[in-house]
Amino acid sequence: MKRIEKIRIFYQENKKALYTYALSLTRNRESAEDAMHTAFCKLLNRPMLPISLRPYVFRCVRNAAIDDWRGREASKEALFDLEAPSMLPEDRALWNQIGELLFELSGDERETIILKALHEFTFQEIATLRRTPIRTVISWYRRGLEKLKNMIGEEVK
Amino acid sequence: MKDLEKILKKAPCRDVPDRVGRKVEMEFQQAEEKRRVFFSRPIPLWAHIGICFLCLYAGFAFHSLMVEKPGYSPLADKPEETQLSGLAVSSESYKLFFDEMNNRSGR
Repeated sequence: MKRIEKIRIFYQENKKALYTYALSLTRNRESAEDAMHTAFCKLLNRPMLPISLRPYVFRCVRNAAIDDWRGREASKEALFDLEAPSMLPEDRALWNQIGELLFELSGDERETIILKALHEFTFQEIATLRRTPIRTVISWYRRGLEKLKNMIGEEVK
Repeated sequence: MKDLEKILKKAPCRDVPDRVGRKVEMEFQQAEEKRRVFFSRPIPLWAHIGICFLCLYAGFAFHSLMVEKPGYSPLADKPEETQLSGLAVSSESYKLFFDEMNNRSGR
């Protein structure tokens, strides 16, 4: 299969995940959009595809999002799609709450939860992406999930 | 904890805005265009590779013409010390041989 065709398929399969990930890093729509565009430009300019494509593209998006975000003002962009017509009002409230609470966590914890729980990354993939030991990634995930659970419990009370 | 993980797996991720989709699609088209140009150059890729092999072959041929092969000498193959020690042994054996002959003739 052609290299460009492979990238196109990857884009179609992962565009939502990449956009959500970029939004979780910046909370700025323009930064997230530019980060995605930059990552795919970089990928298309490479003569060969990297061996592990998914961590590579997510890392490109991460680097681009962080670089771009430094120069922009923070905004309160919603992390999840709350406008879907099929969504029930109680679900909308739940996802709005979870989206807000995720931003109460530290950046590392939020990022790990987004990658692991939402996009089904393995701890090893996250460790590769973040260039961090796997134990640190596991501790970020556990701690973040625990905090999130407690915060949801407090909100319900 | 597991329940929360299950809930998070069903998160409604936001779709990419149309303008980003268009921008990325444009990048794909440009990349395809570049690729087409690369393979339809005035001198095709196969010709480049063929010329490379030809130059390689010519280089080897030229090298073998230019470099002189040294003439073969059995002594040249041995180190100097071995040659001298060989000579010494042979001269000694000759001396012993002649002494023996003289002794026999003296008898």
